[in-house]
Amino acid sequence: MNRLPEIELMRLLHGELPPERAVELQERLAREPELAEELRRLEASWDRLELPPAAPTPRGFARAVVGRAESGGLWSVAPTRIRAAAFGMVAGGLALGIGLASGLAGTPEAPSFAPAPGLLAAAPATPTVPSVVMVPTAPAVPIIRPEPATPGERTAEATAPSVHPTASPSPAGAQVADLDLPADGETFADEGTLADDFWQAYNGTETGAAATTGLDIGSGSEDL
Amino acid sequence: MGNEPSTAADPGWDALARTAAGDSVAFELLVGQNQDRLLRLCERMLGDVEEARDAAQEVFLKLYRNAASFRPRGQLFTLLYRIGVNHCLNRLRRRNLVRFFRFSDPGEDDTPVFEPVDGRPGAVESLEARERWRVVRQGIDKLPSNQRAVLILAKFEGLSYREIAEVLGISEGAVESRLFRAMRRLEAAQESARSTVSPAKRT
Repeated sequence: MNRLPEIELMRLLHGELPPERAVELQERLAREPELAEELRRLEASWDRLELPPAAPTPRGFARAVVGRAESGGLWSVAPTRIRAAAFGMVAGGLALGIGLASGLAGTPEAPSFAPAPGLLAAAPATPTVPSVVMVPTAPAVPIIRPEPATPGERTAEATAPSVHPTASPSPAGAQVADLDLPADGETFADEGTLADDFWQAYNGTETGAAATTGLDIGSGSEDL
Repeated sequence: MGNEPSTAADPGWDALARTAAGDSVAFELLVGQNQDRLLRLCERMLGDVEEARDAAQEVFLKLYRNAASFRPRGQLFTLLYRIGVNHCLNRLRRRNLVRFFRFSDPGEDDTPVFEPVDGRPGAVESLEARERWRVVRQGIDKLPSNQRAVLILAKFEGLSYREIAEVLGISEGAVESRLFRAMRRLEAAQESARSTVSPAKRT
């Protein structure tokens, strides 16, 4: 028997089937003894689920609950979030206090922020406030000019950004060129072509074994 | 909220509103009207009378603390059942957690010893009934928490599938599916209990 008729039987047993569906199922039960047997089995196991009667409610239970709610004060009736927040604040305060106490006690000589006596004597009686405040200018930023790239040569280069004339130069604006980008007219070894002079400069030969193994550029570049 | 008939039908919501306004007499009335069913639910869920009394008190205190935040909808007892079931499931979870961190033996069990009071006449019947209850209780204790809640609400609290769905916040289809699986497990537990008891009886 598949699960659907079993669930239907359970719903019939619990009076949860719609009336028209219940009538259909009753007719089917009359025709199919196997299904009727299954219903009897379900009913028996449902009836076997028995527990002792619940213990009687203790006398004065309601009064005790009300008393606990009233006498517990704000703490016992406060919502959990408020209690958690209060606990967090107390714990945080304690941790801060302990941290401060141990920090001050732990340093051998606590730093003193009082001015030295000589400084106090040298200071003028009435402080003079300068009428013009000097604002330091922005530090000069070194601009590294790009060198023209030699074909086949890869160099690290820094370029100055294109800066708007009105904008002030900023050191953060300087960009380091992407080292992985090939120079003009150059392609990477794994793209299939490479300038001949690169090989000659590297190993003196463009088909030498050291060229391929040393660069680890794979078999595809051996065709070069 | 005069246009909500279900709210007007259940005077419990009115008592809850008065509780929120600080009327302790209304709260006592509310506890008195619902204490039996809540205690029974907690006892069925937890399997321990003393723990059930603690749990029921805490559920009522939760209701008291948050009385102003509940919106009247349906019957008040479904709200109480919902808080009660969640509270009991949390207690069961804590119980399992404590057992896990104690590294106790698998045989050693923290589940309270089930010693039901039998009011029925006849010693033999009493003994048989206690044995039956013990098997059922053990079977219920081994059910996954969601199946346990559905089974207890359906079998021992007599709630309809729709009411159970409302209490647990699930669909009616989920209710019948969980109930069906719970029944299957309990049948298997009863079968295995019978097969282990039978040889002993023979000897």
